[in-house]
Amino acid sequence: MFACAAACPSLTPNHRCAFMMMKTPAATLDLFAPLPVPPAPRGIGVAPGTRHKPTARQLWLAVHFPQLALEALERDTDARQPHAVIDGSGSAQRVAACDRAAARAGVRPGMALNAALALAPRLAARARQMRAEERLLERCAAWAAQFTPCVSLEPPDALLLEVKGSLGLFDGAARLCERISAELGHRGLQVAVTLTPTPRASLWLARAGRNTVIIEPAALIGALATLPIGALGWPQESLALLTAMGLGTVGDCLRLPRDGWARRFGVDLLEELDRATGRAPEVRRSYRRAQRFHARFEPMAEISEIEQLAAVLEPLLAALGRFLRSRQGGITSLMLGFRHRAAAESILRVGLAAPSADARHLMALVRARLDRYTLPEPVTQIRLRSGPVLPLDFESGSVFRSRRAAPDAAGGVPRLVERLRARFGEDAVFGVCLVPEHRPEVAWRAVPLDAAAEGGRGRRESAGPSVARPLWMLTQPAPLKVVDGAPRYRGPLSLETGPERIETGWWDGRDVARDYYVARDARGARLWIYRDRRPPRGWFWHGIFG
Amino acid sequence: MPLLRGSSLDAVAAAGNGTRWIAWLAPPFLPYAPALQAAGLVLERQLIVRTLQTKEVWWAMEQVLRSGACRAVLGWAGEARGHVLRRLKLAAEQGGSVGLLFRSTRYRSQASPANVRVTLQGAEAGLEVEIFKAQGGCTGRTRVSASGLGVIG
Repeated sequence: MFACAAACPSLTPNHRCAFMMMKTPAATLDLFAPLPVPPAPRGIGVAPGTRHKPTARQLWLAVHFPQLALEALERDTDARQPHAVIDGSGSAQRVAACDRAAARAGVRPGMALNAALALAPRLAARARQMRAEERLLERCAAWAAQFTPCVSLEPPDALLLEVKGSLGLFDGAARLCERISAELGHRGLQVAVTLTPTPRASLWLARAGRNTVIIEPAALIGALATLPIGALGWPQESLALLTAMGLGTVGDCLRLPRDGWARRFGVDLLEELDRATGRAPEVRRSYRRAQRFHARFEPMAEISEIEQLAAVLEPLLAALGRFLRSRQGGITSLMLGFRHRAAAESILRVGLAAPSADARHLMALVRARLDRYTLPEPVTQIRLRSGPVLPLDFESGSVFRSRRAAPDAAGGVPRLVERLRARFGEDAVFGVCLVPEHRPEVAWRAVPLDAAAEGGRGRRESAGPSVARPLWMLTQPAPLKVVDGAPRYRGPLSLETGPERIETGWWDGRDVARDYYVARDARGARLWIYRDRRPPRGWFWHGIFG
Repeated sequence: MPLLRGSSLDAVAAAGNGTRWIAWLAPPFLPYAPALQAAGLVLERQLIVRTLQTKEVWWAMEQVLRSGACRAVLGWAGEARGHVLRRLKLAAEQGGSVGLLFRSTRYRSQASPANVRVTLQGAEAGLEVEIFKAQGGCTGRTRVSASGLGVIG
């Protein structure tokens, strides 16, 4: 057996070792095939597959808000006044979170309220508002959706974002983490941001307050190993048992044998450890966001000028734009409500022909509406509500921008129609189509341009007669003066062609019986006139030829 | 008020036979759909804006020209001052559109940055057209019959 091992110099010491452990000589035949990893008793943390998966399939970014309970409440800004949020009721009141001033006085989360008051007599203790915390967390989740479509809530105080696909766009993992913690910091939120290949590990590290970025699955266990078990959010009795066994870190736990662990602490905690190390998958529920945008703004002083109103609306519409961008959707309707002191609320509605998420475009539409608008009274409060969010077809921007603004077809028409409509009203802007009908005034119809802009209106073949029709029609036929039985318009008219008899329409009560003529007036204009065939047989002017 | 004549409709039709739109801003009468179709215009691509005040015609015309969505823009304004005309010209250049502004013949003597200026006058047998300004072209007066070719560029 030794001779055989020597004859195979390519074998690693490990292989030789395995070979030496073999009991039967017949097994030597298998020596050249890859050997399985020795089936030695292993701890929880040794993942068998990690060596074959050098890159992570997912990367999870956890955002932990350690002071969310405090931040969800509105506070006065006196920094010297210690603040604390109190959980529970009666004698079980405990500090859930406290600010820096309270912490300086020795107050710690988990402390009984009486103890905290003894340490800091000026402590402003307020009851915890779970609903406000949830709302704040949801607002943060909605905000975080700009980085990835996959955002998951981890109540009570964390968010999880799957960002593998977004790293390219946001300049890599470290930059993304920096950006998220900086932007949330600007909003007055204290955060810890962590990125690892598993959601559970990210969450643990973030809750422990570590701003870690781990891309390689192989490095994950090393980072987890030093984590104290107190940060895992496990039940108190399990923690007490583990501490009593002398286990202080996740690394200690991972070294224990799996079966014994499952017996002592239950399968749930084992499952959690497996999820943290990536041995077991973790399924997360995606956060579904509100589908409409609501905003309310109360100006410091009453607004009476349209200019001021526009200036105030701009940030609101910018927020709407961000809301829509994070949902990759657009809106086709928008409602603005202006509250006054006494008068009824003024409602302004803006409609769009195609979904849009462009804040500047929306602002231009609102501007156009406001320009025609007179406020009945100064505005005390502004409400903004969007219509439902519709999917938006994003167009790729052109790399080589042509000097001419709009080289391609009708792309700008819906927007143009919206602008014109916002300024002149819905009815003033329209398109035309033919109607198969002999009566000249109903042989065409005004149509709204939405359908036309989408190309939804089919082309109709010419339905009218092939005889000449004037380019311009009067909305209503105008009666002509008659002198000695002959029609006159700016002088005598000479009839050129005609009559063309049109007698139809008995079915809808607007029947006509007319003889149409083309007439030329003294200045050379060709008019389209008719004589009613029914009494009093008057002459009417109906159109003008070019 | 001068109107768009049938002859110049051909020119508009030639300009608008692609995918781009034609906008009619505050026409004095309704453009009649059967006649538009007979002239070869695509009915689906006509945009009509009615009942505008003079200042609103300027605003709308500038918007439409600048957007470049329309091949030709026909606007009827009672008057337009120099700075308005310059804005319109700039907008037409930005959007790559043709703009035709119809004004009263009273404003003939007023200076205008337009590339071509034309007076249209109804005559005994058709239309008298006088091109009295044409950048890089020749001016002159001609009379076209109702079936004549359009000369408005």
